[in-house]
Amino acid sequence: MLVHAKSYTSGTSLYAQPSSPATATAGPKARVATSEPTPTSDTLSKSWMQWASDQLDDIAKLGPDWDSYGGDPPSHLAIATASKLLQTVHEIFGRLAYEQSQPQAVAPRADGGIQIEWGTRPVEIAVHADPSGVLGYLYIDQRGSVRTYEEVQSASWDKILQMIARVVFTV
Amino acid sequence: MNNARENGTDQIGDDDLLYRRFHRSHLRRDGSIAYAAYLLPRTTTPDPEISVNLARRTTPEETLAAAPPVFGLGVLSARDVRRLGFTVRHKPTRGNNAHCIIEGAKTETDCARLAEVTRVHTLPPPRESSA
Repeated sequence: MLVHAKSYTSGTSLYAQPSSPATATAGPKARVATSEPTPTSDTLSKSWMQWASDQLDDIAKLGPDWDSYGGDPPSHLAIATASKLLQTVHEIFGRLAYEQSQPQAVAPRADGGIQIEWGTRPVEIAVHADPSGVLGYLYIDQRGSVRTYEEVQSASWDKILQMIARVVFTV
Repeated sequence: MNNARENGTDQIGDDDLLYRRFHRSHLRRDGSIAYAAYLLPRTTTPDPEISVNLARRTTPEETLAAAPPVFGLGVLSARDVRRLGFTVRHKPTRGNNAHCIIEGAKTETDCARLAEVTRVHTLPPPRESSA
């Protein structure tokens, strides 16, 4: 099948924007679940990238009112940004922690953006690309007695990757 | 539960259940629902109103039939909605006497909290194989 999402990033470097390795910025309490690549990790991580690309393909075809509640169609910029982020996470984190690096969801947003979620309770993150391609996130931590939500509407690539690493490498 | 009608609208009791359709892309791999299912178009003003259906005024099938066959159905209780600090009220529309609105959800965090108290009632149909 055609993988439309990949075409949005063709000809660009995966590492053009994320300029520093995010794994180095994970918090001191983070633990790496899979410290070494296994012989099958490459094959497995390719499969989740295919799944994610298929999701983006589906999302790219959505029109106005796609959610039946008046949602705006996803913008090309949002899809391109989401595609680049997925490929970056796949390349940087997929080899180290395949299971944890696989997104829980790649989903459209009613404002024309795209949302990608990682992690399960008690630690989760939803990264969103708004219609103009600006990245933000909602980080949820339920490990303590009080559930905390950290909501950021605009964040750098480095910050986004730091936050994803905090979820991916925390078990 | 007080279901008394006032001016053609029902009182929503704490035990009432509410249906919310969600696009198949909003189903997470762990079986829960991505909070994007509760986001609204940017043009919504002045206050967000999240549309849901009052379960006792409709059926899951009827709620799903109002959208293309790529949706699942989530269910949440009015009690949980209120416990989170939001309001819910019956607001029938032409052609949908079950229509209600959840008011007060204005942030991503609010939507995430609503998603946390939503359970999947009906799974969306699987994506067609594209091989």
